[in-house]
Parts: sequence; structure tokens; C-alpha cells
Amino acid sequence: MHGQTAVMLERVAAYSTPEPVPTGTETTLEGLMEQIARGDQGAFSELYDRTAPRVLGLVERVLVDHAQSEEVAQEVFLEVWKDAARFDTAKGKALSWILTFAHRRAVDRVRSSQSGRDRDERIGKRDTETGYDNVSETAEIRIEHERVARAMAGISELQREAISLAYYGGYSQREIAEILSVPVGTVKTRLRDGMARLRDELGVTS
Amino acid sequence: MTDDKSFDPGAEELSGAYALDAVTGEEAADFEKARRASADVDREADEFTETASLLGLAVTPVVPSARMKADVMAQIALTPQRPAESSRTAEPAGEPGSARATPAGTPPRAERATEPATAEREGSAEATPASAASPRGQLVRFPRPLRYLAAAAAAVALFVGGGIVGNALTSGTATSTNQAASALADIMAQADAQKLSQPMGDGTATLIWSGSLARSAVLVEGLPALSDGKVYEAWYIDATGARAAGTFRPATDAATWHVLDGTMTAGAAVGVTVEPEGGSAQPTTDPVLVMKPA
Repeated sequence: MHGQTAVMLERVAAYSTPEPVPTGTETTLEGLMEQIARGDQGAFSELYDRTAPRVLGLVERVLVDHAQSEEVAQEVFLEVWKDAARFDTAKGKALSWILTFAHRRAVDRVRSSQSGRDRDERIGKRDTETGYDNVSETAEIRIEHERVARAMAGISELQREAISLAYYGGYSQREIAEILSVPVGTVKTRLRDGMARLRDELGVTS
Repeated sequence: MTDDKSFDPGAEELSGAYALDAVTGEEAADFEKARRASADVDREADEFTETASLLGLAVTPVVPSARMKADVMAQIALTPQRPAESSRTAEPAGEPGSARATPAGTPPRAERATEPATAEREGSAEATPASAASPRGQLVRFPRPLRYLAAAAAAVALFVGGGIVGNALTSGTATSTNQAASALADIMAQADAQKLSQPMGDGTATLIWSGSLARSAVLVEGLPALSDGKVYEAWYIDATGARAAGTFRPATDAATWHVLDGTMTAGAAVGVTVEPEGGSAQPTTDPVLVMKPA
């Protein structure tokens, strides 16, 4: 009856630890999304590490309040986890998808009345404090920043103002109309024409 | 504030505002209708969404707190994933346009009462036969980095309820399952927790262990079912022979895991055999699995 144990011991002796996955080859975010869609939490962890500062940066840009922004960013990542299988590589980049998500959630939070009121106070405060965040920027971010800044310079002042209020301010077209004292239809047109020119400046094609 | 509809030249004019999230739920629904009706509007919406995300890329990143990651990892460990939206091949011939109409690549908007896409999503989930079972099925996938689950160790009951079927030596009662789940969470929570995976049958077997606790657990996806009167039995194996470490049964719809009884000595391997009900004192069949920590 110890024969079976002998078999096992043989196998133990012959056993070699599987080769670890070679490091250094970085999976794309899209590749990670595929793994996440299959329930891979390790891939999710990596995706988080690589995108969380961007997500939080964007959410905080809109929401201003740091603690609330972390809450919303958490919701964003939970949604990314839940909906990973719905990400479609053919439709675009994973980072765009995540940031689109993040922006939407941030805006949803702003629209919940109290958050919005608190934020408006904070925005006033922030704008008197520093014009821009003082976190050191990586070269990659700086390049993207410059690219967008250049594209933004290529559209009209009125379009730029409307787009900034909408995207970075999280204001609805109606709120923007009130802020600028122009009809909603005018804001809508500025947003659409401005986005069309930005799209061309940035070379976005579908 | 002007709500006058006559102000709106048409819902498709909302493409810019929509991509910038500057619309109300109702306006978003109107625009989504317009986009479903026109390929041009749909393309413009995609391009504007991409353009907006580039605005997002230009924002200075903010480093999140370490706590945020721990919270997120604990949450996802306990959160089932949604199935993919109706796959194109499985799509019933009914509405060829509808798969496109709910852009699969676009994150859903917040659940709003006026949101038609919500109903569509639910509809498509129902149409997918696997979807009823899959939220459970998804959850059982075992996380690779063990440490993250440590944060979720407190939520042991959820862990069990979520579809990972634990098997203690005396399997069956909620208490013993909870104890086994606690033991598993304990092992994973150790700073020296380690993991080893290898293919087994159609699935993967994973051994996790902690030297400081001298305990281990084996997790198997797709462990074959056994005929009546048979159980799986785990063993610690070292130069002195095999020590019985508890019996367990395969989970029917989930990953099977078993926390081994007894102490894991340094250098011991873990084996699994098929044994008669009640287990054996020594293995009586060839092992179906042998794993040796490095």
C-alpha cells in the first residue's frame, strides 16, 4: 500500500516549479482588459497601477474635493471590473474608455446637488490658489498636455471656453448658458463646432 | 433656464454636449435615439467621445492613496463581473442595428430612469443563456496576487456565499465552511503567503501556503466530479511518507478549495488522490495532483 506513496514521492522528486512569466514585456492596457474580462485580478491590479493616477486626476479636476474624488474613482474602477467584458478593442483604446467612464461618473457626482454646491465654493478657492496642479508631470503627460493645448489654441475663444466649462468644469450646457448668459442653443452649437475642430486638430478618426 | 424644445434644432446637434457629458439624462436619451437612427451621427459621437478622452489625458495625474487600492482590490474580489453584451455571432437576426446602437465599447451612463440602454442591457443579458449562471461563475476565479484578498478576509461570509465552495474535513455545515473560509483568508492574509499554479485536467490547480502559519490550501478549477462513495483526499508528502490532510468533494459550479488539515512542514509537497468515502490512512490510488512549493 505504500506503492502509491512511492509514486507520489517520485513525482515530487521529478517536479519542477513552473517557469515564471518573463518580466519586462509589458502587456498593453487592452491586453490587460482582455485578461480582466476573464476575471484576472492580477491584471486588474496592474491596470489600476497604470491608470489610477490619471483617473483620479481627471475626477479631481472636475470634482475638486479629494476625498470625494477618491470615492468616485473607486466606483469607476469597480465599474471597469464589472464591465470589462463589454470593452471592445475595435471601438478604441482602453484608457479612453476608462477616462470616458471616469468623466461621466465625476459629472454624475457633481450633478447631485450638494456635491455641486460644495464644489462651486471650492472651485472659487482653487482658482485663487494655484492655477495648475504642482505634481511633477512625466514627459508623456507633458507631450499630451501640449498636444491638447495646441489643439485648444486652434479653436475659437468662445468654443474653448464652452468646452472647458463642460469638460473640466463638469457644467451642463444649460449651466454654461447661464454662466455665459447666452441661449442654450448657442452653447450647444459652440460645443459641437468646437469638438469638430478639436477632433480635426487632434487627428481623431473612427 | 429655458426648457423650450423649439430651441433645439434637433437631437443630433447634441453630439458635442453629449460627448462632454454636458447633457441631462433626458437629453442623453434623445441623442442616443438620434444616433441609433443615423450612422453619421453615431460616427460623430464616437469621434467626439475619443476627442473628449484626449482632453482627459491632458489632465495632471493625482497619485491615489494606498488605501484606495486596497479598497478597490477588496471590492473587486467580491464583485461578480457582468457578461459581455450580446455577442455578434449569437445575436438573433431580429435587430441587426441594435448591437451597434448600444455601443459595446462605450461605458454605460449612470442608471437613469429615462435611459433606454439600461433596458436593452437587461434584455441582452436575458437573451444570453450563460448569463444567469455567470455572475457566480465569474466570481470563483481565484485572484492571482493573494495579498489583495487579505483586505477582504473580514468578509468571509460573502466569500462563501459568492460561489467559492469550501470544504472542510467535516464539510456541510455553515459553521465549518465559515471556519474553512476563515482559515483560507488567514493563509492569504499572511505576508509570506505564496502561490503555485499548474494545469490540471481542463482547469488549473493552485496551491497557496504560508510558511509562518505552516498551513496550505489547494484550489482547483474544473475538478472532475466523482462517483458515489468516492472523495478526494489531500496529503502532505515528504521524505517520511504521506500524511492524510482531509477529504473534500468537488464543487459543482465553482472552484473547489480545501484547506489542508495538519501542519505543513518545510519542504513538504501536497498531493491529492481519489479515495473511498471517509478517506484512507495512506493513499490507495495514483495521485491526480502533486504540487511542491519551491
